[in-house]
Amino acid sequence: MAQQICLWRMAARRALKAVLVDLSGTLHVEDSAVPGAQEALKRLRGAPVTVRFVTNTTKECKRDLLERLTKLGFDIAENEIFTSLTAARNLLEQKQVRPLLLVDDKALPDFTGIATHDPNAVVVGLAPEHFNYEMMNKAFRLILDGAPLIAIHKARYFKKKNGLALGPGPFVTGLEYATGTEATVVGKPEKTFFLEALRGTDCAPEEAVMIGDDCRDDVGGAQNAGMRGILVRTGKYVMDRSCRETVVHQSCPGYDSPHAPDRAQVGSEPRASSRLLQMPAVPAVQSTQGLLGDPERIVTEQLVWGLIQQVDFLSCGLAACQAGDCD
Amino acid sequence: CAQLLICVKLTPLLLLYNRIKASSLKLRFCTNETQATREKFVKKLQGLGFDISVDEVTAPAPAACRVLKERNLRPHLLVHNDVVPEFAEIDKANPNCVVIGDAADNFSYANLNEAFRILIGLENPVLISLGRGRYYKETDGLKLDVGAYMKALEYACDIQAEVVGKPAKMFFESALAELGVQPQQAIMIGDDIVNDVGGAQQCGMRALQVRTGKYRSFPVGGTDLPSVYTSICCLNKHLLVQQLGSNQVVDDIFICKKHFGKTLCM
Repeated sequence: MAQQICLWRMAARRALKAVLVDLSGTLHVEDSAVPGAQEALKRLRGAPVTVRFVTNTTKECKRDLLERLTKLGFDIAENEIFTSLTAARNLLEQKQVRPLLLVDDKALPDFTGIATHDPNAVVVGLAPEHFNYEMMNKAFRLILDGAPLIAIHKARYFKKKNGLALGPGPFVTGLEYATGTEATVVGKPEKTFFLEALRGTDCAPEEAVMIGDDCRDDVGGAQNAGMRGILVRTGKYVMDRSCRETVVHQSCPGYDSPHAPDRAQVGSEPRASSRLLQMPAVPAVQSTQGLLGDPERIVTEQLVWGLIQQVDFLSCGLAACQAGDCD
Repeated sequence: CAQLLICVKLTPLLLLYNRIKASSLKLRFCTNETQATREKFVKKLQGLGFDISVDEVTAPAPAACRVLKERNLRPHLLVHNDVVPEFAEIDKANPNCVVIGDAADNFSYANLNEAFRILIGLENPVLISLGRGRYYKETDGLKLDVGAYMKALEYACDIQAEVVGKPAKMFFESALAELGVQPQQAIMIGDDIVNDVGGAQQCGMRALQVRTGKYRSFPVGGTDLPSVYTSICCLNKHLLVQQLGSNQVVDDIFICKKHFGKTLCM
């Protein structure tokens, strides 16, 4: 049992005070909750941690997200939600600019109060209806004349029922190239997204953990901001092969993939430990199917539960077991 | 007498054009025009008074066709409707690559998505881009060129496009080969600092930038600054004779000579 625990290579142990939870793919997949997730969230609430729900949506305003999640049985407050749209709005207010909003109509409520006449900034979200030649030229001319380009995120594509579809990333890249400028990206995996999400929680990145299904955007991004990361095997994890085979290995050391037999399994082989110990990155805790509810993964859940209980592994000796098994 | 090649970007300057034609200087048109076939394009210029034929034009679409044939590629075309005839003899069934050109209004989300889906579904995705311009000037303002959309697809599919057309070296080299002229004996004249000036310089040609068309006053990194002058008309004939050894003069021509690393204005 002790073998199925990830290794910690941390010089200074800090207690966990904040938990950021991804939404799509982690708590729910489209209109269904991940099995057991509601229960897990209830348990999480019992711990002395601040919880935030973070997502890269470009077309759901906070109100709509809240409604959707409440319907699925999740106990969430609107002010606990932080989205890439919120991040964009914050930036517009900071810069005091008036945006040309290339975003879905359903996202507009998150921008109420922001002036949009005579625009001197461009905000790009996922808005296929705006990615026509005429609108792109309009945005291009503004940026060429000095307007800042703000990208909600730069996803390459996303999955629809009938296949893959271009995300905002390619269009932002095209505008960057044509104008010789660089967009400010406000969504995951940008460092600023995670730091902004923590603003108001009174927690430092080292005191926070991010739980998500996207190895690069959730775990990788969080680790890059100085937080810890937990990868769940639901949602995008299931669909994105390339992530599992390449990025996963880089940012989630010790992760075992059925497609890469040479990768060591976490703690299950004596060899694994030395490999993991050599990894310089802050390690991600590997979770298995449905971290937040799968009853078969008791050990891992206990680990996470232990985290949020602010248990000091070293002192309780559990880590000593780990060290013994892993060396 | 020296063989000289002047590649001229299309700016309507009939007088100079005729003089060049009458001289021993060889002329070739290097264009990234992909919104029309060469025939249509030549007809437009003939209508403006230029005595020009299709054989004098080096353009991306025919160059791309050669590449497609050589490599047995069957393209999905994301190009302007008017240039499609240039691909008439190419097998387009069951595409195994995408050819992207300056498609203008054809750059709709749906069309781009279609091209993307084809590429992402290929084991060996090939994206051929007819040029890589950032933007061009039209009467109603500046507009995004093929380069922006090429970059979009490159990013979406995580691949690198192959560029046929300016500023690809191969493009200029084929124009020079068609005339039997060495790069050192040639000058490229154009309004686009990357496509015309940059591309030509990388080939070993000299370059002049005209302050018409796309010209904007700020410099762009990556190219030696060429001489910039008001229009193609202001070229000093005296210096042309002096620097290029041509014994055929063209009135009012001046030129800046580029020494490695230094730009001398004379």
